Amino acid sequence: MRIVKWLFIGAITVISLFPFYVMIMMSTYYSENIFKGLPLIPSDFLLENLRTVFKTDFLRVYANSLTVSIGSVVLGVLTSTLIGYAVAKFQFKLRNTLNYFIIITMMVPAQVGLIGYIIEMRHMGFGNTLMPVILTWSAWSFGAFFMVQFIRDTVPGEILECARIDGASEPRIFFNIALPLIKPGIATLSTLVFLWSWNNYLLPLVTINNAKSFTLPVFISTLGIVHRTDYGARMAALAMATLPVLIVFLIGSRTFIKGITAGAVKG
Amino acid sequence: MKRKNRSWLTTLVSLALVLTLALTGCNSGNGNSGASGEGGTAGNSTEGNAENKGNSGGEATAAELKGTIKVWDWDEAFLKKMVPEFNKLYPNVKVEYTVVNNNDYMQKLQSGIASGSDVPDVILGEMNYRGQLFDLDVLDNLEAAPYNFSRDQLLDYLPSILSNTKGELVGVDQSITPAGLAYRRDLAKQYLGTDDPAEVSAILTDWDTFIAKGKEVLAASGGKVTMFASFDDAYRVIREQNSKPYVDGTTINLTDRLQKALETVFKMRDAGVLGKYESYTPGWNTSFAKGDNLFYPMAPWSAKWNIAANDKDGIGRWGLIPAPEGSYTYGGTSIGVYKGSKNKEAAWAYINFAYMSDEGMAINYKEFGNMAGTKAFFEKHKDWIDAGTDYDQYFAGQNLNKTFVEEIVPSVKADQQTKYNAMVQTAYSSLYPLWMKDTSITASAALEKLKSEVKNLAPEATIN
Repeated sequence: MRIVKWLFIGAITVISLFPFYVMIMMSTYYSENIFKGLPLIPSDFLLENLRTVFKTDFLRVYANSLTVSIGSVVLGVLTSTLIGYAVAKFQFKLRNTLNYFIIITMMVPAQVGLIGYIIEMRHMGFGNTLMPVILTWSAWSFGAFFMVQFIRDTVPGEILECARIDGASEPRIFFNIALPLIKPGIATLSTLVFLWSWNNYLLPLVTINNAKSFTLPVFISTLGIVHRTDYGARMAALAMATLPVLIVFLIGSRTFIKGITAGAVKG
Repeated sequence: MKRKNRSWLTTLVSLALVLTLALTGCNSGNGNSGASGEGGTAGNSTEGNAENKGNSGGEATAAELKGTIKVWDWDEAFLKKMVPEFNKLYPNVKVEYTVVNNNDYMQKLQSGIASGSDVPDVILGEMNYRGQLFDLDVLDNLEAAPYNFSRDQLLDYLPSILSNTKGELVGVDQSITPAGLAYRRDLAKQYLGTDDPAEVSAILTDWDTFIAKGKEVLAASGGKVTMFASFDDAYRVIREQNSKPYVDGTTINLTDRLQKALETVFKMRDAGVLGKYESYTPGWNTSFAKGDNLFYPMAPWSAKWNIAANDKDGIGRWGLIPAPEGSYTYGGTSIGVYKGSKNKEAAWAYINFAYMSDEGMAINYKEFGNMAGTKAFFEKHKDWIDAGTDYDQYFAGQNLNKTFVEEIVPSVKADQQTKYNAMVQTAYSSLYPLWMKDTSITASAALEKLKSEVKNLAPEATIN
């Protein structure tokens, strides 16, 4: 029985890791040779592909992407948590309306608001900087919705009451009592923001016109273009771009799964 | 309280909706206010144009020209070479360029225009989206001031694909794209009995002969070698060969325009002379070196981007002939100036320098293989053409550009581009993979399906 279980898990692992393996193998091929067969054995073009990638401003682009993703995580998680805490644990006027408003904005596709958002950013003087790509996470409806649900289910009102009676200030209650309780939620949300902002293509594409501020996805799409697509170089760049995401996911996966299932079963 | 909340909610939602509508509404309207002066006086004056730039008079004005222009282009190698050369002559014009993938160009441009943020002064119009770009009405008429260019300077077939629906010339050609057929010499020798361009083209007088020969090749190779690698390759060639205006206001005369082309391509499909690739897929790219197809569409840019890139060991392996039943255009990019540009003179100076002037073309032709779309270029630089290019070695020394200029350009025809051309292409692209696989679909059924797809994309149009 045990063997069957391990065989099954092994098979699933191989299937899920196979695309990554192929991506890494592809990055060692000359672009036009990639599709002659399934590239399973490494070829000899890796250095050439890496040269194509590093001939450009790859390190700066990488730094840009990191800045954007880390900035987005801090900003997005902070605002979402504050909104979630307020809506879930405080009684105030229009609280329900606010909750509905969050849900409604989730239903509006991001593309609809895109033009308006660019106009807003331009008037704030953030044209051609990384700010528009980061600031978009400051009003992130999914994050707020997620945190409202999460805090409602995991932070008992009684604990907050006790703290208040003991004379703790509101910020202290939030940081010292509520936050430790919702760590899994924060980890989940951080992983999500990181993944999404790391892979975001449309927004940087339309807001950034300056090659100095390009992020990874936009940059990779400009590698070897016009009528020839340099898949080899793109795969090399992609392999390097996927690495941090994999690491983040590995670190976060334990809490990530906890976060997803939290609140699923009511105790 | 609950009731009150709900009414609040409705107000908020409707407010948001109205705002969204208002925002999108006012943006689509802009651009129309720009002057649409007819370039009636333009034809007689060529002063300020490229040809005079080399003279001593041109130098003084060139140095005086100041400002910053933005260029969005996908060819970084070209920009890195051309911009410093341009600055030697125009030291006070700063060129800020952004590398934009041609697949994303339109989306980026539209959001830039709609939001009033960055829009380049020099705008490129690749053939895939050119109609859509021209119909946005954001490009300046190059026959009016301050450009005073004249369409008479262009090769005869060009003004129609460089003009918008109002008839204004809104671009010059990045490089001319008259096209013929590239063929594998080894396969031609084996199956057609000769690899000489003149003899191959003498065998293939029209498409019926082409199909008949294709069947022979198929039989002789045991079903391995086809004439075209893709249904789409054949369609592109034959569609553009039968080029004629077919969009009249909101009426799209699809039957008139495409029936003949579709029937011929379907005949090829039924005869089995088309390969199973979809064009511009990795498989299609690989087929160049593989050798299971005889012919590929070929424009001047194809030597570098299709042949040399996909068949790097193919020295001496290729040949070029005019297509049976006449030439056509294949791809191509227009270069225009944004109507709202604050530095129109500088933008035009850049275009003139890079794509038409003697100094610019010396680099553009010799290093990038681009041929200017002007008559003057071919009159003045016959020696350049005669000298051949590096890519000729792939074609066993056949002088490619000479073949294009002498044998292919004379019979080229081209369509005016509108947004409907782009829509027809979108509809076709989604349908043709099925057409190539499912042989029960006939040409007339395909045409009807295409019409209904186009109707979905353009509900306001009448489609015949």
